[in-house]
Amino acid sequence: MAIQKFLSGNEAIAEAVKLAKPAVIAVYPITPQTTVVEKLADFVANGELKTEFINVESEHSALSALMGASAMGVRTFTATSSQGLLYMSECLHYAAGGRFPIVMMNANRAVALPWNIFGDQRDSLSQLESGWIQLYAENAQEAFDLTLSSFAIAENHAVALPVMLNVDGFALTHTYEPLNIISQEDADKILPPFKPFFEMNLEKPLSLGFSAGPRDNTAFKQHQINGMKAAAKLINEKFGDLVDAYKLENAKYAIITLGSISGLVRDVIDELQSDGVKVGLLRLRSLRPFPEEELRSALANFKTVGVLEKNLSVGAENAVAKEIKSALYGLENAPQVLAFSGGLGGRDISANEIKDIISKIIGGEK
Amino acid sequence: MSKNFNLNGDFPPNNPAGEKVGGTVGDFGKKSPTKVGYNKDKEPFVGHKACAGCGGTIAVRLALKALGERVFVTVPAGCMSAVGFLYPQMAFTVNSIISTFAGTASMLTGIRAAANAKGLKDVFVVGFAGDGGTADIGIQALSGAIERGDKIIYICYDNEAYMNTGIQRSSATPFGASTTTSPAGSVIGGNRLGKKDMFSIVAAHNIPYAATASIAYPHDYIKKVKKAAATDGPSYIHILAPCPTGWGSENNQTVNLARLAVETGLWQLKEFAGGEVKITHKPKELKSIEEYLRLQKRFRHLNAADVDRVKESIG
Amino acid sequence: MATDPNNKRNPNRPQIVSWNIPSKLEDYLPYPHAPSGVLIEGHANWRLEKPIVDCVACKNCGTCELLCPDAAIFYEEVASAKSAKSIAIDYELCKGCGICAFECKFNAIKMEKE
Repeated sequence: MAIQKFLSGNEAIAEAVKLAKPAVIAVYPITPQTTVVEKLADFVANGELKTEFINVESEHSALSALMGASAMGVRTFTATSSQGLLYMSECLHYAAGGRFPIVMMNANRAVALPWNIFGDQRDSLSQLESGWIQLYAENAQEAFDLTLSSFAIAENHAVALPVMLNVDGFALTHTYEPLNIISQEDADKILPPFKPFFEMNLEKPLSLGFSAGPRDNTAFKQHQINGMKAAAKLINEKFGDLVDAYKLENAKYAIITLGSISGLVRDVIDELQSDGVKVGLLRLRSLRPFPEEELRSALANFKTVGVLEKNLSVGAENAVAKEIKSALYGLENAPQVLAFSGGLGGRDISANEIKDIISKIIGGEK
Repeated sequence: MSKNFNLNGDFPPNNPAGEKVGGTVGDFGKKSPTKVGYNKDKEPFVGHKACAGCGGTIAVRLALKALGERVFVTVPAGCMSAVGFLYPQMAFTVNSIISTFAGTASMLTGIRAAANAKGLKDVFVVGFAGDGGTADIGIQALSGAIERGDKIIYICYDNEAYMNTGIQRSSATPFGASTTTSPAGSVIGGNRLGKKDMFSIVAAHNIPYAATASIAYPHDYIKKVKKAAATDGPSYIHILAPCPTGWGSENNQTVNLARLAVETGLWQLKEFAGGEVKITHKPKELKSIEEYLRLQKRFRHLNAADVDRVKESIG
Repeated sequence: MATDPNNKRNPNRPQIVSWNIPSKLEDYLPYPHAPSGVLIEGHANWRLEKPIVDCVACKNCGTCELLCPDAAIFYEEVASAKSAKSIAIDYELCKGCGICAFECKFNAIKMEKE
């Protein structure tokens, strides 16, 4: 049983977190994430959510506290954005290496300097190698659904990795949409109570966060890689695939995106396809695990693909484009990959600009 | 007696699977803290790789002996974690975790929150961080945890520099001390700045309980650990723990130096509770500081004016 | 040099277990957590000097046990006298720092060259 609510993306995520019932939530404000934790604070203040709600003194402390809580075998949640995500960068690697199944929402936002509070994806894309699962939502409904899924993925025993759920700042976090909010009963079916795979306890004391020297270090990293592989399998089987293909069947050209811009790209593709242009959309729902196999099979017979990311790699090809090129490497007649940056610092991307990009893809030039 | 041991699911003799630990020692739920003894039977911190004569390990071991086995220990990156967690040799026989360097207090906060969520009663959440991890990089998290009133015990073992990385100056390095980043050169004679007063900083938070201690006064220290354990809220103990490697002293002088620091008045043993500071040990007559300085290479370069300045710092 | 786990140790002391160096991934824990209190080696070979307890001079005050950084001093039951305990040194764990000898008020511990 679902009910309809008119909510912003951030409010939808807070509703989902309420249904997930984390035992510990650490909060620290940063635009445009703040309304998630404000809403959670309201739930706690009004008795709708029973949790240990910690007002920490920094984002670094938010993750540090959650790692401590996670080591005790309980479900945890926090949310951040931009500078906050970068401030906790040390803890990102730490949490993934420690296999702590923390779930964190990241409101994608530009990174200083110059200061800018608006949406782009430079924050999370700069943290691709932190070892976190990185999911990207297209709209508020998907953000709601993926919040619950994120807990289920992180807490799967074969996975045991933290999940970063990325939601475009303002475009999704602050835009209101009518949403289907599932009941607690249905949420409990998707997300059963957390069964920890290790926990500090008084009967069998554990030592966590230890040093592993040159002989042993690689083995723990290999286990971590296996966790990520298990995540790919789990997401594809149960949580709606790593990639989302739109009208790719008869296309020769594709535009690859992630996040909220995909909505507008769909409209443009509808229009162009009705005019006979053979272009489709491939949206990346997950960047870690990276959908290499999916990309190779979906794009095998394409002529040219263009990657539109709200990101900029200074002095190199953009991060996502580079990864896609790498994924397609070695395919017979591998498609040409073009890289496009857009939407930096919240700059609007218009339908005409997307058409422009598509015509460049078709023309096979930058 | 010994057997081939596989870590997968196997628990070693020092940590027998399923054996109920805890009991009366350290069980503050049933006994008043002052009556709780020192756990003679079980070693909580043993087989670590610390240098011979390490003062910090004495501070860790004594506190855990006093707290018993119902504890969750956090140590940040630093000496105690580097010497105690070398896979597969795990020197803590109780629950323990290494935090990030800056994250001791915040990790303690999270552990306590989870313990509350799980309804765990009569457990202690205790952190051991060095002076760099406390007075420098960890002070923000420490301040936050104290301000929130989290029921944690934070113990700073102060060896007056970043010893794990090879003796670099911290804000707790005393005036005059030569370290690798405040060396005694021909122009500048060691650290020109004074020692940060963590005790007063912590007390300014109006913390329920704070104390200073010295490893040369183990009974005083154990008593303070028990008071910290009985505190309903955050508690902080700052214990002077000399480092023979960093101070340039003989291995057997570690405790002697911790005693001389108190006997000369350079380090005071005190408590803060109920808004008041109380001296817990007052030397009858203050010893001259010369012997204290002479036993340490880090002070060997001090000139007469420097020694006078060290003397003036005694309050 | 690794400690020989077959050396006879007092059963009340922390035990040293033998450890097979892992040869394949499955030998490692799936997550980076380990049982607490695993000792695979002691530190006897760190020592340059060795503390020797003079049981006659020792008054069992316990100061050395309190101040040992390596938890190497313990109370051992005396075979000749029932329920009597005396200070003993765990030479597998002792690093020979000499704090016990220096701090003993009764000069009951002497350091001897190894």
